[in-house]
Amino acid sequence: MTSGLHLQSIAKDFLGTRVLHDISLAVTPGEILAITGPSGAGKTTTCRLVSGLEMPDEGEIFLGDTQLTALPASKRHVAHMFESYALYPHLNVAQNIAFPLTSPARNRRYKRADVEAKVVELTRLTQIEHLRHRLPGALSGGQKQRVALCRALAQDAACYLLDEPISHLDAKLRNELRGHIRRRQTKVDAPTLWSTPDAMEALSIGDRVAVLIDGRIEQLGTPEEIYFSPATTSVARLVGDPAMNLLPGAVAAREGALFFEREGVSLALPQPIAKRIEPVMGHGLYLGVRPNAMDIRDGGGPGTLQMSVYAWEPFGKYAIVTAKLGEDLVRIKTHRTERFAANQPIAVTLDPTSLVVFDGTTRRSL
Amino acid sequence: MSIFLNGVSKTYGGEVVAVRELDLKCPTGQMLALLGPSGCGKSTTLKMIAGIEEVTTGEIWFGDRPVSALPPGARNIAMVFEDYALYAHLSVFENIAFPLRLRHLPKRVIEERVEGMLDLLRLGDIRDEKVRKLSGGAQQRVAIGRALVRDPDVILFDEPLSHLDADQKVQLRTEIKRLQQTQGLTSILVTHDQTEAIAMSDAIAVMDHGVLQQVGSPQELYETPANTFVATFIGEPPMNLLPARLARKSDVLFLEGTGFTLPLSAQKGAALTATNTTDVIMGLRPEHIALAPETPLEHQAVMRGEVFFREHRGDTDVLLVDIAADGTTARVSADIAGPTALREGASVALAFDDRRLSLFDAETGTNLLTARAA
Repeated sequence: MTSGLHLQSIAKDFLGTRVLHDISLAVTPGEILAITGPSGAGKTTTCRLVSGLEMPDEGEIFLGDTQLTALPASKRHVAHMFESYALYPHLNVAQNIAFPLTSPARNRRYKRADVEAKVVELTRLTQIEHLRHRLPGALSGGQKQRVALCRALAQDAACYLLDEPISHLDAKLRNELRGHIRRRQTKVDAPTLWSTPDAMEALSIGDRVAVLIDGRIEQLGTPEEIYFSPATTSVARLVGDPAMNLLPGAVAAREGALFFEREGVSLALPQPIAKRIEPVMGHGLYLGVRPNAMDIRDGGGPGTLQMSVYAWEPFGKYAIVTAKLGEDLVRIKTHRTERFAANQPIAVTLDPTSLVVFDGTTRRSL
Repeated sequence: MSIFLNGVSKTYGGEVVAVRELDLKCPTGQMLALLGPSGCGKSTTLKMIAGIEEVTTGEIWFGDRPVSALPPGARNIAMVFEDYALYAHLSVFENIAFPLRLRHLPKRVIEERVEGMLDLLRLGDIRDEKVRKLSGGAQQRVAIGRALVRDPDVILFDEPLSHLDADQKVQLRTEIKRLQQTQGLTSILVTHDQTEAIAMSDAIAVMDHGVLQQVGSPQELYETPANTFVATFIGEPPMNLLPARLARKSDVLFLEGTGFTLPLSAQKGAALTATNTTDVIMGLRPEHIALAPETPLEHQAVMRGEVFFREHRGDTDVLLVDIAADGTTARVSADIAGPTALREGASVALAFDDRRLSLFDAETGTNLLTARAA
């Protein structure tokens, strides 16, 4: 007896083009697995394969001991919230949410009072209680999204698929709903897949996060692993606010130490990193530096990088200074509050303990 | 070319007021953002500046020239749209050259000016590509080049980043800011996204229901929001708004809320002498809350509660904490340096002081610390 959702070596082709390659994932009951990646990466297709709206060209999907791929969509007991909402235009908000519970296709029938209780609870949670008699045509995009979310969460499903469930809501409500949904879904005896193009949302909602790029799982790990140790430069480019800086350069050994070198830059690398780099001496590499691992220092001095300000964006609690280092643009998240003018020279320090090094050829983390 | 809006209103069908008596100024070489939720009147305002919509009452001036009665073509403006509006079958070069070709400028002049734009916007490498093959971010840079190439007096940006992926948003935001700072463009930005407004503009006008709520630099709006609407619209995660009471005990003014009592400094107390309000809303930014030290500092209040949700944000954790005291509850969000080991259900003590909090009138929502005494 196994439990949870298992995708085993799934591949999917559309019109002869492979859009998903060798996808293997396991999600346990009560776990939220967040899938993130740029648009077109295959997030929605993955959800559609689980709910049965698409069939894989290779591989199997199991839910517990049930082979989902042998069942039609209607028999899978999967609650699927669509990115496009797919509300019934002739049913009002409450009827849309209740529909899967009252549908004759379900083998379990709910009492009217139980259905009503669910509708009340979920509309209250998503702050659309006052809209329960409205038809979808009279709702804004954000309101429709919440109806679709309620309709998915109302079901006692064996698996939940939430495809961009809160992307059209304002920041405050998104933040609250992440908390509510997380609490709810970690208590149910079913796995949840949460798809989002926003990597920071994935890190905040997921027990684990799968980063999907060009139809392949680029990295699968805990939010901390994804944030602090991105496996490839593609993952690094997606994660963070703003994302990690990637500086191309090379390694050189001098006086018994290793240096990251590029035009105008020679930076001593700390021991632990130096050890990992040794095998690829002579290759090019990328130095990954998070924007918050750098700061601007008055005057120069050893260990600082000389840059010139490209643009300054003051956010109140911090500012983002974009600076030119040679031909590359580097983003620095600083707590300094003064104005930085375009083309102003600055000296930048970086925290050597938080550097990540990527192989210049394979673009994988070392 | 500076832009002035003088008592500008827009009314549809004599009764629906889209914009009400708007006074705004955008100095030469600056960017003014019009920020607000959908339906706040920002797009209508932009259309009036462009001349696509007529003003119902009021005047719009570009420098010393009244333009309200002029058609769009006579205003020398350029627009950048959210969906780029490029000619998909033409190359990058030809898209940028298009407005110049329409004016039958000499070939040599066109080449010179388009080359200048390609350099400025770093499009030189893709000058001959068809635009339909480009990423959204590159397409929008082409659209900006097409807008700038005719040397307009005013550039109007209408949600220019809405359709872009997150990384392209961040990149283009920086490019626009850079252009703004180095080219001395006078421009208006319409956006519903406070991050974009803060990142790109010199001043932000926050609108709601057709009415200007506050105009100021991003820093002013962040530090001294005029009312609770602006307070929650600027800042991410949004400012906490917590009901509280002002109580005077001997000579000290105290702020009392769910689970805390905070003695206010003499300075804050002095700023409140003009008010006789006791019911207030305390505005506290999540980033101005810390985990409480063992011995709280003077002028520091401590709230104890339970973590409802911990959001991993990389360098910080945003904690939603439920505070319960005296039969009332409050949910507070705190942005703490992280990652922390705190998880859902953990007990936590949060500290804050009075230096960076805002106080609003519970009834009107007006900032009590900045409002002028009537």
